Amino acid sequence: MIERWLAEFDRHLRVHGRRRRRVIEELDAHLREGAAAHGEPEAVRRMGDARTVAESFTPRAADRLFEQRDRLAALLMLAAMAASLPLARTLEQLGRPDRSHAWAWFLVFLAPTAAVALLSCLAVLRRRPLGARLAPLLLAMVAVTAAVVLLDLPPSRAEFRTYTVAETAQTRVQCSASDPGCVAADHASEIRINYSLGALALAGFYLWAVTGWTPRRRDRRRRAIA
Amino acid sequence: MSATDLRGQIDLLLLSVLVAEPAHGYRVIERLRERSEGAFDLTEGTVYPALHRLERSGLLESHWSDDAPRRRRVYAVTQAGRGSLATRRRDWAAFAGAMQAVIAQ
Repeated sequence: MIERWLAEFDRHLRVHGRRRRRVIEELDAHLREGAAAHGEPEAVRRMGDARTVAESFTPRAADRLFEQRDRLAALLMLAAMAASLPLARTLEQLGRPDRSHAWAWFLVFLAPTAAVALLSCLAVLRRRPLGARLAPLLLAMVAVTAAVVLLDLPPSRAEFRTYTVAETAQTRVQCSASDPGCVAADHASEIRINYSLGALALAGFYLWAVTGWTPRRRDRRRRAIA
Repeated sequence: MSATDLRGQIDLLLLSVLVAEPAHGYRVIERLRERSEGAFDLTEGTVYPALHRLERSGLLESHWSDDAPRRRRVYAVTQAGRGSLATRRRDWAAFAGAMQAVIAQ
């Protein structure tokens, strides 16, 4: 009776690979435990219709997407970090001619945030609790970093000054802009604003995706406590 | 009470049962029945897909346990699951309070 039920279940199950083997093994063990306690007919009756149970193991596409949102957010975060590597290379190249080490100090300043982001993403991808635990810290670190960059505080100040000088020289050589210094300053502002606000938005999205945390939810909790 | 009556609340029930102590599917069903004094007698066909769905969502984690004579899959609530359970409990309390206020009149 159990074999017949499992064969029917197997025929309708739309789950593949390791997960399929696990589901079947788990239900098989459960049915045999139920049969030992209450007899095979009762164990099979309690399990329900094999086809219906098999279908309920098949997630809908939208559900599957929502269930994987934490991993998708982690992949997005890693992709954004990888996409900003060329900028780090540009900063290093622009700082090299005048032997300025401002770019190196700036990257050292960014390194802990990048390390926390990397660690959190890897933990989320492996579904380890550490990933969710690090997400609020990551948002706080990104907020501090964005504030330092936007308010032109050290070490960001020295780096962007070096960048603007180098970019001004390059603009003067490459094109006949009326005010190369102004063009370079514009580029520097673009980088500051785009990267800072982009990183802040991404860290906020990541926190929501990984922990389900939103400011509204926290307010509701405060009201409940009050 | 059937699974249809409990639609939307099964996740809350499963997380509540598992947060106290990790357990395998068979034990989860027993605990639900015991704690509800027989009112929530869910079938395995309802509980197992829900356990798997919660695990895919990262709210539960599981491993095979060979302690018992039979091999069993033991489920435990993750950190994210505890957070989700706290939120669901609050939402349920608010919902039940509002329902009670309306039907008591």
